[in-house]
Amino acid sequence: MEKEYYTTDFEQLLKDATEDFKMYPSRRVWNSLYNNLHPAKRWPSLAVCLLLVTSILYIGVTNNNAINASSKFASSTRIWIADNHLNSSTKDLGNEQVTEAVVDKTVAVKNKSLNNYEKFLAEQDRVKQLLSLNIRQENVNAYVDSKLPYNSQKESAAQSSVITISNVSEANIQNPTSATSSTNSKTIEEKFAINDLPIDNPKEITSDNRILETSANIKNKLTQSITESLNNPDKAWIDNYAFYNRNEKNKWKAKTSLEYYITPSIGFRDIGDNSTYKPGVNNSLVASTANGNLSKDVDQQAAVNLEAGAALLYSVSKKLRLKAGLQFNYTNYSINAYELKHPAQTSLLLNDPITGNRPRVQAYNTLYANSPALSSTKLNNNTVQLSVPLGFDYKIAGNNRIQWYAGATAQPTYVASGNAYLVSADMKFYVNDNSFIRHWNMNSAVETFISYKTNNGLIINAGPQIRYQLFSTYTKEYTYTEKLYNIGLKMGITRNF
Amino acid sequence: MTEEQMLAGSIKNNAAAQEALYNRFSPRMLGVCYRFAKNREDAEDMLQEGFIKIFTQLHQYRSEGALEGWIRRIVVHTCINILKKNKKFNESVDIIHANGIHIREDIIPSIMQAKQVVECIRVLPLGYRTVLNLYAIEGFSHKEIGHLLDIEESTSRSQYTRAKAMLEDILIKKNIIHKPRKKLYGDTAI
Repeated sequence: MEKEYYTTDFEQLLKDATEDFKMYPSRRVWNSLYNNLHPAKRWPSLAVCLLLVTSILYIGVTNNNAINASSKFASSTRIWIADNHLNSSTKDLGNEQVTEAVVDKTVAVKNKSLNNYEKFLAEQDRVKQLLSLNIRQENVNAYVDSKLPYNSQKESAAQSSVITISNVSEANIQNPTSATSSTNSKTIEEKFAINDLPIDNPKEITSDNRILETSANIKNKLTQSITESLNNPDKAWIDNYAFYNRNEKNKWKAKTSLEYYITPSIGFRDIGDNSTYKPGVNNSLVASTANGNLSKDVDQQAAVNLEAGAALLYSVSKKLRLKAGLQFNYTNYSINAYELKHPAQTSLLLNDPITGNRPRVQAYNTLYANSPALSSTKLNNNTVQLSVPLGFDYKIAGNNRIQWYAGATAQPTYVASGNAYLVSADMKFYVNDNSFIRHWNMNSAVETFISYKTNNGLIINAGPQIRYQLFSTYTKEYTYTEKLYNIGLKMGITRNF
Repeated sequence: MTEEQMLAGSIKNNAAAQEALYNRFSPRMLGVCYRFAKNREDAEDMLQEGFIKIFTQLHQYRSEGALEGWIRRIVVHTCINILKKNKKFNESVDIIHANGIHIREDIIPSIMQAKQVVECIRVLPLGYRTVLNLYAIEGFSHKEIGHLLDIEESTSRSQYTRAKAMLEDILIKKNIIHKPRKKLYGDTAI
């Protein structure tokens, strides 16, 4: 063979020298390989994600439909038809047997202005004419006392911003003559509730067994009546008025909310040379990294981290809100190391603050090596942190129901405790010394999330977050710096006061 | 776990058997990849790619030769395929007259023991290193190398000659070999 013919001592030397050359791959290789060979194992997590997304979409679509169906003029119109057996109060008008109808209507009126109030009264007359009803004004919801003089009514209305009128009729609403054959007693209640005004919401099924039912004709007539009496500018004015004229206490409450959140994340670390370190005479004790990259020489494996906290949110404008809170963090990652049979002596090369950054050697005995030994093991470096996140959220887009935010926080942090396996100066061993953990640190976080408001006013938030530690985990004495960072999914709930 | 059990289990896509097979051969195969690669990270990528091929083609192994040889062949081919995707590699391996290339002594690693020869090989220019790895260590002929790398057989020969001379020079300077040579470059021994 050609190869054998040309093989010389030199080729043999190369072969012999490289034959037994081994390198131990990092765990990352097997993990990637495993994921490639067994992709089916991913399906459970994908299925759960898909289910979650589908559920959120379903809830969103369902609730949006409910809102659309019930919101006209930024109000709800509901017709209540009473069960005739339980609530009949049939009256005879001559030979005709007619039903009794009750119409409740709630609208907002302008504070200290007669214009809309008078419009409302005029509209009341129109409804009366239209429906041929005997309208009586009563203080159903305690907003207007009908016994008060006219001026007092206006004043009362001005203070409360909302007037509720209950109309009781003794006529069949659709067609009085056609009601002769009817023995049904119907209670019709209609509410025009302006957004954010304190109205009482009727239950879908009341205690006296009234059920919700729509009467298209009645609804159309009432709707037409209100539409004619309140044009768009009026409605907008009422809406704005109600929003901006809350009392001071309500203003503060409306702008403030409390968020509770939890963030499972994956924790990594970025290791580098300590720039304040002065190598000096002991430079020979510091390893030159094989790859020129410290991160690669120290084999690290990401691990699950956890964050939980609460924050107070204060809206300074419709798009911007400030936040401050208290947060707990557990950070950790694993080091792929090797366990020795017998303790080995190694050292850390440290900056000595007393001698002006001249290095000093601190000796340790350790059982953990950075190069292949008796058996492989995992060392866990972790910290327990308490921090005060201070920052803001900015609304990028959205409506009343779903909103998209981006936010950032700075987090002064106290590291309460932790566990530290430090790589030795020659990078051949790991030593355990927690005294090098820095107790005060600073973190920063950026996030973007989707907010979804549920029917009961609870807001659900979810989105990705990146948290980065600005200062090294370890004190300035240590030869290397380590900065932790987490990539996680922040999930929270927000509730208004 | 015996080699037969590992083989049978791996063919059945048994994760434990696959991991055992991987643990058995990956250190040596990473050493092979490291000789071809630019750095350890690239070597690990080559190793990963190689083992994916190994596990997906394992049913084709006929037990006619040593399993390690079969695995090594796949890994080497994977390394070459990955290198060939790099335009710089294609240019460097096709240069016939690579005179004027000098290795600075200070970049030659001064580490001891088994790794030193490999590190000296890795100091060579990419084209030289690849041909030398394939010919001197992996046992490919120049014809096979020409076919593998899409170059002329004569190009492979000249690349190897220069690579060999350069490596000898490095090894002598590092006192790994002591064979005196009168002419280091342009040797036409092949």
